[in-house]
Amino acid sequence: MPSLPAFRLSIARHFSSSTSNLTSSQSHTHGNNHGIHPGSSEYVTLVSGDGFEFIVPRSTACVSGTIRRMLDPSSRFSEAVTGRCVLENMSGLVLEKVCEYLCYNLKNKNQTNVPDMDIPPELCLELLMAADYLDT
Amino acid sequence: MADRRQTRNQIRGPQSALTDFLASNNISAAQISEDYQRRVRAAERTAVAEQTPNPIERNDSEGTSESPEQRKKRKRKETAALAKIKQSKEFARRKSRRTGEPGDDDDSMARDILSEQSRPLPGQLENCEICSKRFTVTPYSKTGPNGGLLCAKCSKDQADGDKKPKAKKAGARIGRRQNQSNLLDGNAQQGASTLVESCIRKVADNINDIEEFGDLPSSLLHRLSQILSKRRALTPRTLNLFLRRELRSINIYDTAKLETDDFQKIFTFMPDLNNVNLRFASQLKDRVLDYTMDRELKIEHLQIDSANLVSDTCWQRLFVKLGPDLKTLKLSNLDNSFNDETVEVLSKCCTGLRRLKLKQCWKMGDGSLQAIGRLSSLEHLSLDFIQETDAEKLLDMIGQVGPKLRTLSLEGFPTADDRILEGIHNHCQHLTKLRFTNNSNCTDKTFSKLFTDWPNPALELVDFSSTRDVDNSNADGPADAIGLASQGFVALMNHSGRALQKLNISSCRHISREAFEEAFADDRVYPKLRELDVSFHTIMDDYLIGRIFRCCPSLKKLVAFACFNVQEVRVPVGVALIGGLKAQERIAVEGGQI
Repeated sequence: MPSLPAFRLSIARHFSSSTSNLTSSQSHTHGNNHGIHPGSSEYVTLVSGDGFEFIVPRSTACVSGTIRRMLDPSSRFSEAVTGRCVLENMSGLVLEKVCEYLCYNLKNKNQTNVPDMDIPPELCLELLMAADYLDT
Repeated sequence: MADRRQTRNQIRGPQSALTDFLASNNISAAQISEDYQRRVRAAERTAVAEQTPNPIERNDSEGTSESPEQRKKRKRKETAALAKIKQSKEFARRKSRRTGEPGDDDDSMARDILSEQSRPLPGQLENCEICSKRFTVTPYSKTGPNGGLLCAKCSKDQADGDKKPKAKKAGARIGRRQNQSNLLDGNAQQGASTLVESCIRKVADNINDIEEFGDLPSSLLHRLSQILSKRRALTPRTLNLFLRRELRSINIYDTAKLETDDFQKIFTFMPDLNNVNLRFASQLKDRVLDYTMDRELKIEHLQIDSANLVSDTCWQRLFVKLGPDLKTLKLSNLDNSFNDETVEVLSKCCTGLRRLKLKQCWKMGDGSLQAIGRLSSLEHLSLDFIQETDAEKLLDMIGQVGPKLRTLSLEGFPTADDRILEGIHNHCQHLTKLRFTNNSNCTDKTFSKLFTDWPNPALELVDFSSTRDVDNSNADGPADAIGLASQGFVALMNHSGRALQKLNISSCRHISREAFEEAFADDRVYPKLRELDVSFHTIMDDYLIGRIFRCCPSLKKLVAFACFNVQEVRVPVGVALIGGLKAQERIAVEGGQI
């Protein structure tokens, strides 16, 4: 698949420029070896259906109600134990946008008159489904 | 040309009226033009000649190539020029404009004017300050960082640099108008709206590019329909997006743009419909409802607004057909049909009706009240009559359906008197919502009695708006107050305060300041109250509003239209104060505390 690396590159570049505390890598290069410990670590990994990983701060991920419940230590879900949520039904593109929103939400937490985040029209229906599932 | 001017008999090309006039007065336009050109050329020559020593003059701190005499001479010239400028009108005008600004003495101001005057005029040549290229000065040439002029390219670059940071600033917040609009919607939440909400709005923005919604869940479709309806974007085309076979409910809040066939299409495409909600259904006709009856649709929840092309006989056929399966019926704005006889058929056939709302149906009268009284399983009743009704009939109805009712809303009963409130007190014991508005018969005493020793648990929603005495010659009303006044209000808050979520007491004009102070005293807390409407209470002031904020920690929306003494109130974060005198920027108080 010659086109895939280019796509991955674009995601990584995007996040290094817009959100400093966000990195991405691909799952089969085992993302958990970046000094990230499972359980109650500061960072968690969100994995898209097509294998893109997004490592985000726990507080950021917990903006989403669904992810918060997945990661709740008292739930004993495997996600809570490993600190890794696989979101089968989302593509990397959508999950990227979701992560951007999670950061955006946290950044604007205590501000008034916050405009909507910019959403590309071609992505909005898929993103809507994802947002509904994630309870954000 | 000179030849032609002299020989007047030759044929000339077209010339302007001015030239003609000048010629008739023996003045040559061509001569004037030539003189002007000559003067401009001379000016250009001298300007170029002057500019060459310019760079040396400017760096007078370095001043290496300038002899002491030359410098002295130049200084003297400059002082003379400055003195002349200080005399000028332009200087006086600028000075008067600038008074009060610090750091501007006369000298520096005069120097500014001098440098402006010595700046090259449009059409002349100059070296660009940034790139040092030689260019022709135009009126659009920008001034560089050190006061010199810039060439076209550098001017453009600088203009671009100026624009970008401004655009970014504007993007960070939404505009004041949008902000006030949100406030009026009661939306003063902090932080970004949810991703679901943003996405739905985005989908609505691009509705014309969307081919189908895929398998969006029903709840999202509902919200999308609301937004599209509000924007009046629900057309026959967009309706198709909502028609999905497997869904059992359809909610279209604005069907005004749909044709009769579109309504029929809804019932063709969605045979399992169980919940139908169509507002502004002006083109809904008998044949569509007949079609649903033919298709044996099992509709349990039906809400239709302004379907004035549906006849009484058709309504009756529908009620006979749906029979006891019908659980909810909400009809509004019917002025052409739906008479007492139809309501009679309804109460006979639809015995399973739990929820009934009939608003602004012009033909309904006393007969309808009697018929509704026979609906024995009603739990939610909402009536808004146009015709005047007999208070006796209303009382009978409450006696019959009251014991089972959970919500009761009575509007448009101007003849209702104290007996109605007594009836509610005696018969209703399971209410969570009570609305009784627009009445000027019931007295404060009965309101107070209603809430005293009432076995009904605390109410969650109360609306007593516009219950007051209306007498233009006596604004304060009679001594025994009419409508919800001081006693009644205090009794209401004592009875229901702990559970109350929404309270509307707008225009209950006879509630005194003391009553408000008592109800919103220091030790009172109304933990669940989210929305409060105190419009047209002229005794409301900043202090009382402050007390309300203190006593209602969950308050989200406070409506205070025409409260003229509410002026500089401090609004806690997350609360929308609607109807203030000025469209002022909200004064946010950190942490919601005052």
